[in-house]
Amino acid sequence: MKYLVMILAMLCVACSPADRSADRADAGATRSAASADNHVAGDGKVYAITGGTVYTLGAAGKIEHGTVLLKDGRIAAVGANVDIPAGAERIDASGKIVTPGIFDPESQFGIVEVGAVKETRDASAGDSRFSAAFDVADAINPRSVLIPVNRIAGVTRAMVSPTDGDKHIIAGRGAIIDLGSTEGFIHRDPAAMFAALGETGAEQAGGSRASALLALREALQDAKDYADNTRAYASNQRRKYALTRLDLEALGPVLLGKEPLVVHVERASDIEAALRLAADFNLRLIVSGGAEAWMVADKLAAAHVPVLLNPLEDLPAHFETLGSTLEKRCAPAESRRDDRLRHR
Amino acid sequence: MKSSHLRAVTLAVLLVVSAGAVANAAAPPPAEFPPDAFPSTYQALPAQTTLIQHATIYTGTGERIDDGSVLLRDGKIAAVGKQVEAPAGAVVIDAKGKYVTPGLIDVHSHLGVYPSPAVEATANGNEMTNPTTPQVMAENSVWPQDPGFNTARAGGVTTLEILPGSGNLIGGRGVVLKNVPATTVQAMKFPDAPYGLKMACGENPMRVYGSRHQFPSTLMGDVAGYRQAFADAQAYDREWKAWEAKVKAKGAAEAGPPPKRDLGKETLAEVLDGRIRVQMHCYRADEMAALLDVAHEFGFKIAAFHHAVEAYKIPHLLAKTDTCAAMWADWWGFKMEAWDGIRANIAMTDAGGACAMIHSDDENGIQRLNQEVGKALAAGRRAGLDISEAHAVMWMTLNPAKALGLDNRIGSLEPGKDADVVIWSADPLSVYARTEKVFLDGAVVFDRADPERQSTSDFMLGSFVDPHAADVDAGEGAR
Repeated sequence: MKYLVMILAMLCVACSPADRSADRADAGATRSAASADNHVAGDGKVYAITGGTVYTLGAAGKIEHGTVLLKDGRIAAVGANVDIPAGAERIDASGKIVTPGIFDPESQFGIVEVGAVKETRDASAGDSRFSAAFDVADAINPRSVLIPVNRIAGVTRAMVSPTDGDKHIIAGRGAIIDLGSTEGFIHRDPAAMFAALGETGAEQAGGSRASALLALREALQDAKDYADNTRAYASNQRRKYALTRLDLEALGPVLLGKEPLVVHVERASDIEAALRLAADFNLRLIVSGGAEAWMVADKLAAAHVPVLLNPLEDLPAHFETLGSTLEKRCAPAESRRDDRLRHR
Repeated sequence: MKSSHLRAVTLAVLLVVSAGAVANAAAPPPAEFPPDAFPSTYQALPAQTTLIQHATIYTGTGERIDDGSVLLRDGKIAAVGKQVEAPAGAVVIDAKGKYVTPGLIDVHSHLGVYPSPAVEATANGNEMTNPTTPQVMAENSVWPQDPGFNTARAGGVTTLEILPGSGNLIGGRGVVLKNVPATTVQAMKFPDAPYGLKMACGENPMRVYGSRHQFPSTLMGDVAGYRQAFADAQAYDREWKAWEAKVKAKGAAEAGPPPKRDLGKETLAEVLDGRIRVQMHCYRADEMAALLDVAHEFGFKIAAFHHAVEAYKIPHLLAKTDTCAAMWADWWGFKMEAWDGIRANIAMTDAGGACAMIHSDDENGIQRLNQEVGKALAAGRRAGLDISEAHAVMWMTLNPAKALGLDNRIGSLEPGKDADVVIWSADPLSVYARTEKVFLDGAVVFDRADPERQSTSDFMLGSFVDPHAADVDAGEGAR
């Protein structure tokens, strides 16, 4: 339970409320057809979940015999003494636990149906020219049979993320989906940019993590130059860029800090390299993997960088995860939670 | 001691070869056929007579004893029950509020052959240079310093079978290990445990070889491959039998040199003899049915289908042939042959009368077999089956012991069995439960409260991670 609570706490940070929708960049030609920051307004009913032990994960903490009131697709009220409107459908949760829906921060719902069947895989740009512009939202199948299977296990929303390490340092853009609907299921797109450094990045960049970092740095520099000189680019007045025009456009919101950059890194020194890169370009960094994040927890906390951990992996499965342990993994998560409560 | 080869001949004659051929089981074994080329050197660690009392005990036989005691003496279970007196000088552990089970058993692990860290030099689990490699032995690939042995032990696993991978139709011999820290694999080998032979159905062999435009590239190629291999083993048997008959009739000098040993065919001959137990990776019900027919055709037995995500469709076939199924709690859908997996698989296979069990096939899953069984039990109950916790504990103890042919020695808390015992902080089927102490042959091989009883791989020594501080959670217990 301790782990679960911490994961949820982390996710609240990583995928924090839709507070940035107003200043979304116009992604122009690369915009997905799906709308961003959808709000599905419920099924028209009012639900009162009563009598349960409510883990709010909000300021109210844990509430015994609490009531959660759902209305118009929102949580209308939560507490020990909530007025239940006439006509509300009551759900007796006495003796049960009530939590927020589970959020999976890195999933492949709707973009991989059967992993070993290539026709059902849409998770990476692979051999195509595109990298950063690749957007999973354009491929997501909301009728995937994996979605209801996970919904009954409590997963209500998820980041759908591209596969990293498939021929590109920058894997592309992920989208946050709602597992409750086949209409308007895209909750936010693009929600984050995904890239890989460390061992995975090195494999795509000629064999060294240093060249992987260079490739990412070059892409960001090019994207910045492109953003500052788009008109000059159109009239062939700029130097040759490493990425396609659509990739450069897609990196625009990342450079503006409007879209987080999720970087897969495990080793402490790779995390530190990612932190330096993020500082240089003023990026909103999220670390994915983070087997050795506990070793640099202070730096991550100081930079307000959330970490997406797999809390069950405790073996030195790779040389970049030699520091993998169960208990110490919690250290950065604790930092994150405290940090969130203090600063947000 | 009879040679494995002669036993194979005997069985093959009885089951397959036409009347008229008679094997002489009394002939002396050829000296060049050692019973085991890599004999076990396992020695139990020093143990004290120990009485665990006031515990909730899942015996592994489907029974539950409240406020019960288990006595461990001379490496064996000496007594189990409500009232057991502590012998003079015994260590007495008050396990009030705690749970006790047999040591957990995993029939499907690749620890040591695909160890951590996973790099090219350590990827030794699949000899994918020929679809049929019965001559290779997993124990020759096992790296005893795989840190995963230690984490599995911390999860309560006392016996495990290390298997070759599933890239080949016939992948080679597996090896059953006692999960003790050791420098050599021989020092971990479960004394006198039958060997297993790893075989694999379905997509993996046909993908590996089909992608190279080699045989087999189809399911029908897979099945033809097993059949030809066993047909060849039968011919090998006959060749040896003819020579042995000649030795008997005319004497060794007249008989001439023996046929050349073929390690692969020798292994298959031992399968035909029943000395080696087939452990068969197979997902789909129709493929399992086909393999049961192949086994019938050649007169051998499949001990267990592994993965078996469609076992729930054919429990009657499994029960009729006394074939076990080793399954995951909830892995499914990652390839076509895994598409029809359901969470109630173990429970439904069990309810259908077959021998059902959990298995890990995974260095993380093996650390939490108890939680996997908890999930499988919950899924069975949601499907409407009435299953007790004590019964579900069999899925990680007695039933895997049966699949290994070791159910007379391990898998339950019964007098005379090896003293492999786990003390849990809470009901092991709860996600909150953690192992507190793990006994193997009566010796404490893991103690969560004592860093001296938490072994560390040599690989981790000198690393920046302090091995003794890493996963120690002294005395905290359930949370």
